[in-house]
Amino acid sequence: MRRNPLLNGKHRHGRRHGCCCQRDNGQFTLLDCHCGQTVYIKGIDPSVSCAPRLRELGLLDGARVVVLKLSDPLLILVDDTRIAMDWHTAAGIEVEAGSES
Amino acid sequence: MKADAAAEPARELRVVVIGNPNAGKTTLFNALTGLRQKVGNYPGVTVERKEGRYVYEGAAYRLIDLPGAYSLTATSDDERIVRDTLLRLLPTEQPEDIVLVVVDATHLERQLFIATQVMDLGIPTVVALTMNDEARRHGRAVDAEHLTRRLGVPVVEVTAPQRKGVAELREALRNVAGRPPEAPPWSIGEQVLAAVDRLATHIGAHYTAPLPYRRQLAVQLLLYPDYEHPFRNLAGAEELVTALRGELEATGANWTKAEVQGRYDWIHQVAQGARVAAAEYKPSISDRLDAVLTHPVWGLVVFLVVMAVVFQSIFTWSGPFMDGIDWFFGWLGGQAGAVLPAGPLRGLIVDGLIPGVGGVVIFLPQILILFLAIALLEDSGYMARAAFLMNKHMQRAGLHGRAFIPMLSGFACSIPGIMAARTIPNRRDKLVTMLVVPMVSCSARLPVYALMIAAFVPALPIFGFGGFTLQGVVLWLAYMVSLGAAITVAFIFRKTLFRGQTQPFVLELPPYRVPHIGTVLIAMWERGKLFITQAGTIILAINIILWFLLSYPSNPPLSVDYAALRAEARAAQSGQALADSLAELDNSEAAERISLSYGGRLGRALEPAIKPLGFDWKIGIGLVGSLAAREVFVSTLAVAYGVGEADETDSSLIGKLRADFGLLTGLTVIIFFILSCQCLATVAVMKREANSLGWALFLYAYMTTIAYLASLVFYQVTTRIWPHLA
Repeated sequence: MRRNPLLNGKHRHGRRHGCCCQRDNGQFTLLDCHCGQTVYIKGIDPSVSCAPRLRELGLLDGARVVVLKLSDPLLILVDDTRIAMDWHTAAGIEVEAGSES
Repeated sequence: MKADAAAEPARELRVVVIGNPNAGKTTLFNALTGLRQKVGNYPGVTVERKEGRYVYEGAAYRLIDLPGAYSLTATSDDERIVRDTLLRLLPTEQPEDIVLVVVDATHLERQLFIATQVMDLGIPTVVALTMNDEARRHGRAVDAEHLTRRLGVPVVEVTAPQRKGVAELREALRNVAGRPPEAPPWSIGEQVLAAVDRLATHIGAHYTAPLPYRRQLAVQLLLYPDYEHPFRNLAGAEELVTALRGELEATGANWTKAEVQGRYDWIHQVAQGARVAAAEYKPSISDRLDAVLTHPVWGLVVFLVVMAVVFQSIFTWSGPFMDGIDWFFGWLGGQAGAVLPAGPLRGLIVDGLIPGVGGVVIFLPQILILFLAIALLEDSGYMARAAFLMNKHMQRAGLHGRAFIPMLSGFACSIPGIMAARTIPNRRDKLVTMLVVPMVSCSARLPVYALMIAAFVPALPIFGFGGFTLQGVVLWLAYMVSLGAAITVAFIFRKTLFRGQTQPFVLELPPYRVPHIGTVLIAMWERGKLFITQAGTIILAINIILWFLLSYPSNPPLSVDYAALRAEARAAQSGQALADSLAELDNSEAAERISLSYGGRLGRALEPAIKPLGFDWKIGIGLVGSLAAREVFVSTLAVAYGVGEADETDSSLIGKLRADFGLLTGLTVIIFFILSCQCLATVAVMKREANSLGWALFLYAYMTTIAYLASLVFYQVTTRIWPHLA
């Protein structure tokens, strides 16, 4: 499996961890989740240039997100809407773990 | 009540139709206007402007279908047009009387976002609620009446494909005219509002629209630092924005998301009561399809199959239609030639006008089939999946995920390829794609490759197997070199001319839906009409100019008296021998005439420039002729060689080429045609699609320069190594 620095040095499916994989800076991002996991948006890094667009699409603080695919682009489900985004953008979206879907 | 088309309208109301992408906006627009539509471009950009009209109860309604947008903030040309139209920043557009916001009931909250922005402006608004039947099936139906009460604007449930609710929508549009809605009671917070109003006052010195309009722009300027904004460079604006942000930061308020959070807080309240039932999310058919269609392996397999069908349809299925058009214009030319008396008018009509019109119409089958395929892919929701799959691969070459359709279409013909770049949202990505598509080897180059390969490349078996020959390998290489060159040039362009931060890739994947056949056919018809009326007229003019250059002067001083020679032949010979002699004389006269024509003189004038490539004046004439269409190179060369009408398999033409040139010249011709833009029709379409003569000329100049330099280097280097093959 190809490694990518954005994936926090972990296996990109991450399922073996059973939960989000915390980064060195203590953050969990969408990229640290595993497929099928339900998480909640905690915040979007201000350096993500499309942050306002993401919010317009419903990625508000507290919004429930299901991670559908961890491929690049990553695929999530927010309020019945499937949204694909590149890894750089996903790495800027901080989440907190929720119940398993 | 019924639409009254016969009544004379007393006044005309301007209705702007907006909504999120995939909300069913175009289907509704078609249901309201039928085929009374006009498609064009907004000035200076490549965004399509679609306008339609209907008459209802004595009033005429002019509908403007704006591109799909999530909000009034702008990250692409499409969104900029939406913002500038609604915020009255486009001097060419009249202010609207009514805004029709199309809202997909299956994504109610997100789609109401832009509706609240419009209502803030105080423009009379009607909401068309689409896809409620689908929402009902998923147990998430929306109560339109409840929504009407909460929003304070009419909400009409519409099923456009079945035309359900269209009459009610027309009635609502009639009733709402002149009745601005109350501003929705969402809150951005007092401190942020105070800052917004200070900025709105500053903008007001240059933008005299009412306060709600200025507030909208002030919010964007203050809260969205990375977005394009018309007043970002306004004197003092940057300093004021920095100061206001500093003040807001000092209050500790979470001001960056104030607008979105404020709107959604209110929208959630509205939507909560409007939902008849709020079912939990359950995996849908779209989810099950996506498991396969976006899979890194199976998704790619399906993608390749879909693209093979699209390519096959453009490349092969259009063939019989194109042959039919070719035959028809040939027949028409023959009929006109038989009826009209000899003279310049017959020459103009038979050899200039009719083949010129034929040269335009012949592209139609490919364009219609391509846009049928694109409309089906878009409407079904598959296009977004294909972009999802291809984005990573295309981005390596600096291209957008959606560039694969134009690139693929380019193998059939550059013209539909360039037109297919319309589906790319960002202007920079669109331009890069349009500039490299003509480098992909189109079908018109094939006769040139075939002639040169047949003339100079031996049919040596490869791997000891007769099915694979050196000729086939050279042809394959020609295609690979063209694809490699296109990718390389795209990469270089993104690193130089179109340098800049890579746009983040964020894309909504809409649910899979059965395409609405009426919408698909109207889209196909509009594209065909647009091509004929705009690019077609330029192509026709170019074809007539090239005919003139290759046909005039009409009576040049010939070296021999061909009439006398024909008379001598008739007196001395008979039967097949006479026919052969007369044909030879005809061919010799045609060759001499073309060499003395203005085009021939141009070819001769070009000789000093093309001699270092190993080309002579005859190839020069072929190059001039090929500007009409690349495949014309073969027939022009045949006339210049005195072979008469010939194609790429003609043994006389192949023999004459072998007598004059060697393998290396043949390969140089192939390289030149791979890289050059020897097709003025492509340049004309580029001008139309990029909305810029400058980019069209740049396309021709950069490709010709690369082609010339590559051919020069190849010929000069190889002939020094293998001079006997020159």
